[in-house]
Amino acid sequence: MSHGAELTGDQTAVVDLQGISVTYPSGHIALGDVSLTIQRGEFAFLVGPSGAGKSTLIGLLVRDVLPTKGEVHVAGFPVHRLSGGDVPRLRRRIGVVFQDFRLLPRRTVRENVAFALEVTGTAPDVVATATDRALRIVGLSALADRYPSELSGGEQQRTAVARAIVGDPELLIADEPTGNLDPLISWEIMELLMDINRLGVTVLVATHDSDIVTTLRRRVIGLEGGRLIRDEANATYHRVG
Amino acid sequence: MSGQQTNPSQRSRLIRLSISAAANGLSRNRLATIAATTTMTLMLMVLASVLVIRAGLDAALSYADSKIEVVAYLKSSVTEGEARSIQVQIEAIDGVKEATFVSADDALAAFKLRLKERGEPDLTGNLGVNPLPASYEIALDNPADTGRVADGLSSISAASSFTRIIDGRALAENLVAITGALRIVGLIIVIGFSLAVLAVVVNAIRLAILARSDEIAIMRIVGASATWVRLPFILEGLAIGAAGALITLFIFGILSASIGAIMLNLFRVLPVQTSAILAGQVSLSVIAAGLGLGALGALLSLRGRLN
Repeated sequence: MSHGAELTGDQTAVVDLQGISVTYPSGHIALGDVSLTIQRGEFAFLVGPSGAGKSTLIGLLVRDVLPTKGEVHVAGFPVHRLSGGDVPRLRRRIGVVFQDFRLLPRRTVRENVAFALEVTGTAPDVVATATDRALRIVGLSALADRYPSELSGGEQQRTAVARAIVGDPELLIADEPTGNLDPLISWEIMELLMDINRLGVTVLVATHDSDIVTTLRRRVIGLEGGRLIRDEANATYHRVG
Repeated sequence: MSGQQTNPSQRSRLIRLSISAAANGLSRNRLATIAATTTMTLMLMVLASVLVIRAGLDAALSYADSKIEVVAYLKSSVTEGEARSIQVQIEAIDGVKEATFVSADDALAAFKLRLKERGEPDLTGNLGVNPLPASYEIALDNPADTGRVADGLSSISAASSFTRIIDGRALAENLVAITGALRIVGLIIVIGFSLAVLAVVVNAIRLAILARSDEIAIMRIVGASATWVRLPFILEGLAIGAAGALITLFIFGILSASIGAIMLNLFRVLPVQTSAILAGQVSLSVIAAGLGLGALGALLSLRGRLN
């Protein structure tokens, strides 16, 4: 990893939040005094009811939201005091997958994936190699020339995952990645995310899917009313006892 | 773009990408593009017209300043010897640079030449005698002194030799008033049209932003810098401005001969070089205004939208 911005915080942690609070101008406290660390190579679930603060926390990590108090470090970037010009450099170290895929309908699978690198000015040969690799990882090499409308929901989400990992990120954030998929396809996507985690990428999955969380028994970070109410390893969706 | 190192090859790739995105954006929102370009062209036509008319008036004003100062017409009974002595008295008046004697024959010849240049028939041949008087055309050190010199002419001993003294005050003052009024009216019209153009360009670019909102969201989340996210829209604004300017110049190019004739008719002061004005100042102003309004419209529509 090499980047010009000052590297700060815990160098073994990809995510490091210390005493974070986010209060919106309306006075609503979206997050209150949250501290947590996610180490390099970890796989963690972020759970909680709607309005618990999951989206705000993800917004903090990609610097869509700024904390009103506390410090945020992501991939070594001091996000809480990052200048606007350095935000794109932070975001190139993070891949994001959304519930609604957010693919560009007029571009093929390959073009959708390559787009993420092209718009950062990456050289065409590097774009081609990285795109082929990402498509191989998600198992879509054979469908590379199809348009999103010609794909199933699961294939579209795989395309979105390929786009998220094509830049070789340190952190992959999946925000309800199975929310629009049937159970079988959801499992395929979760297996894909675990494969990517095995390649060394830190993965954070925000989800309401209790079956997946409980079955996989990974670290579970629970939010409720903007507070961190649990942070357990090898946990189930619902707290036991 | 603090903290963002973009090397030259990256920059050229991103510029190519931005140009292609701008071209796609313009063709995708064809109706808004046509509306914006048409409004831009209309505004630039108005600007060019105001500039051409103003240039004509300025030329007329400067002609008036340099040529029309004070003219003293002599009685037909004044002999050549008397005229010489009058010249000495005139040139002694404070503020007079030079007094030129124009004989009655010279005045008739100049009148015939003017009729010929205007393409009007010469009917002077039907006159048995030359009706024009001899005169002194008096050049001044300062055109503002016309009144003082005219008063001086009335008070010299040879004043009784003059039939009429004409000073250029009224004409110069009228021209200054017309030019000043036209400047203000022209400015108001141009500003009014500019605001309308800005509104239409802003609307066209906002539609383009809306049409590409998914793409912009992806660009932001994958780490495209703000400059490269914005550039295609600024290029779209510039393209609308450039298209409007080119269409305007093309139309004015075709009409330049007719405009020249109209200007000549309007000002009756020779020579007003319409083609030279069009080629120089007006072309540059139209291009600069087109590009400036296009870019400004794009920047206004982007303000606060792509942060």
